[in-house]
Amino acid sequence: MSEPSAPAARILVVDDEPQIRKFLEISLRSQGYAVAEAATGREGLERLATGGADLLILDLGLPDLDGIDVLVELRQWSTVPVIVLSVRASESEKVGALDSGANDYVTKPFGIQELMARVRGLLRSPGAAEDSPPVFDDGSLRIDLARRAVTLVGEPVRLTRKEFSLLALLVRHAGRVVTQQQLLRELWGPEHVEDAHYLRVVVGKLRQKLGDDAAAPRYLRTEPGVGYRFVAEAASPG
Amino acid sequence: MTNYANDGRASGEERRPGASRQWTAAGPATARDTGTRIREIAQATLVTAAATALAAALDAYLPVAAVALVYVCGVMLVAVATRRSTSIYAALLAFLSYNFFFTEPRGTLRIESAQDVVAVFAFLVVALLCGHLAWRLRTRVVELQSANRSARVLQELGAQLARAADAGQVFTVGCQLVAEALARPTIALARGDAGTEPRQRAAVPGDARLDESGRRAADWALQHARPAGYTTDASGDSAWWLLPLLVEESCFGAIAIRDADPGRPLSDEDRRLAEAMVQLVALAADRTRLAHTLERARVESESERLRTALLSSVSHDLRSPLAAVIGAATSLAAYGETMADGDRRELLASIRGEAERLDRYIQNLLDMTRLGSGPLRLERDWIGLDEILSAALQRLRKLFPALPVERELATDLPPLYVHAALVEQALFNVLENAAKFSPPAAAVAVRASVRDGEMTVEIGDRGPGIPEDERRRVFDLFYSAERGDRGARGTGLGLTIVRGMIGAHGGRVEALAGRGGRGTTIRITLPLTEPPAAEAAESEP
Repeated sequence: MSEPSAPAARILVVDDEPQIRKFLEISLRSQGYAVAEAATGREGLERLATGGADLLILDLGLPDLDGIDVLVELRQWSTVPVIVLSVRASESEKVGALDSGANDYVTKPFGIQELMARVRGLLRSPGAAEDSPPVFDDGSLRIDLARRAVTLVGEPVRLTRKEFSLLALLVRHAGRVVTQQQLLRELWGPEHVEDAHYLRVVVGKLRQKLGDDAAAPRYLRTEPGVGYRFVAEAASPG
Repeated sequence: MTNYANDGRASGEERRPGASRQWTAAGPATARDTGTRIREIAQATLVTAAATALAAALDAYLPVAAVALVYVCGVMLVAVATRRSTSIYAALLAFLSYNFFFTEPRGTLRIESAQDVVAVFAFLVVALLCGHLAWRLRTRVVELQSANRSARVLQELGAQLARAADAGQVFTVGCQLVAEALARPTIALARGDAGTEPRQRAAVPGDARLDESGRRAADWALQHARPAGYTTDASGDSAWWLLPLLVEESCFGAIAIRDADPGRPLSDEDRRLAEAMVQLVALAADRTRLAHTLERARVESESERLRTALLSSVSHDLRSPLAAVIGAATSLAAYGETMADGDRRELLASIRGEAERLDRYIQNLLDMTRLGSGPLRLERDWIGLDEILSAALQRLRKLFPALPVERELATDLPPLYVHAALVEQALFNVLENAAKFSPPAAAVAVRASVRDGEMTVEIGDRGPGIPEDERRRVFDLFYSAERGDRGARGTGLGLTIVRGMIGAHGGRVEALAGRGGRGTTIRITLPLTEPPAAEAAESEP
């Protein structure tokens, strides 16, 4: 990895476990980021308010405040991207965090590269993406959001309106998880946020048309109990 | 059967339709009843004859009108001792005797003077009236006595049942008091689980057993939740009278009373009393059953809560070091080559430290299961506190190399007779806890002294301290487990284990305010055992 030429992105790590803070600090620093640390939710909020940050890594199991409370509070005055760290088997907690304003999550224990991929995904300039919808092209799949054209190995893929909307939404958040509720709300309307089976059907069809295997999807990855993620990078090793 | 299909259970009378007439006073006489009747008629006749004899003796000295009073006395005597019809019979007999023996002409039933006719019939009216009044009075007294006795019996039963802690005691007490009140063999039965025989829960006398027809009556009573057996339509041939124990239409047992005793039938009052007592027993049994159900639900929810808390604590305590190990290892693998040497060494040290932390948690978990599965087997031996303490401090120093420890041990500490490894683990857990909460460079103090045949070890830190109302609870499994994720790092099960291990030695652990009001002092108290006469053994030639 090359050092970013612009001033280093500043990442604030909020976790009560010093050993976790330590390896995050060392790894993030080795990748050229500037790292600040906080051990409690209060301290984290203070540091963010006084020093600011370009990204927040927030543990949900803090001794003083619930991680969700921290999110709710900071979202009142900050739009900083947040990755939450959460233990496995508490999908509702993850969904709750995403609904409360977290941008992505990583399940503990995690490999450093999984976290780095999320960090890079969130630090990619979001402004440029919105001005001119990107064209995704990995040599095999090409998605042109502006022209609403999808081709697979040069062959055009015919998508229904819902299928395309779903794909476009995921591609715009490429690399990040989009919750089921968010997808349902945007595609079907707020009265259908409970109708997860709609989503399953459309995702199934979409995978079929993109030649994606549901058991080992290349593009559309299921985050069980949480939502879906469009994988933009080549599958990361490990 | 048919006449109580539409809920004829309002009163005791209606519970035994068809049978009830046999033993109420108004009913047709049974063989037993006939005997009593003949006896009473004979008594009335004898009393009248005696009255006649007395009147004859007094006749010479008194006017004839006064003689009538002797007869009235006789009628009253009969009325007080017998039933109503007998008193009427006595009045009529007295009337005839008076007429026959004392009105002119004597020796006939004829009456000469109109004056005597009036007197004789006035006498009849007076005799009947007195007889009736005397009978009423006696009936009332008997009723009062019986009501009084019922009230006392029921009160006693209520008081004893209130003290019964479980269904077994309710059955025993109920059976005992019913048997005493009625002076009949009595058996308490509990309905068996689906399809099984009813179980005998109590019997007075102890060897009382239901016979074949009694068992049939019991089955019927339990199944139909209605009285059965003697004097009822169901298994009426049985000598046992079965009263079901009912609560809200459901029957969970029965009281069997051996009723068929030819000489002494149960009176109306006895039967009503029995029914009232059985009702009380049913209510009491239901109360204990409810209490039992509640208690079980409470225990279940408590152990469920404990399990959840333990699980979350374990998963937190195991996962946190694992997350650090995996994170540090993957960091090294991915970016190790571009890292500074110092960073690499730090990550490696972190991996090692966290792995060791995992090992300690697992040791704690093993200790917990050891404490949880029955009494701890102690391998006691004689050992000095200083030896145990050094071992614990040595382990502590690996984790907290910079931690200052002040030792203040009394010089004359006697040896302990303990399972050294367990006491060392307990001391280590307390020390580790103290070190964890100590501010940097603040010392952890260890003091030991002997007082009143006990050794006291106090370990004090200068940490944030424990609020007074939580000091008792820090050793609770609930406390440490429930704090789990939110608690200070690694609160874990350490102090709970300390209490278990010290408790196994007959000692105690308390959390106190620190010296000078700062921090926390944990006080461990261990009982001292008189050492064997080692010196004596050595002084042998």
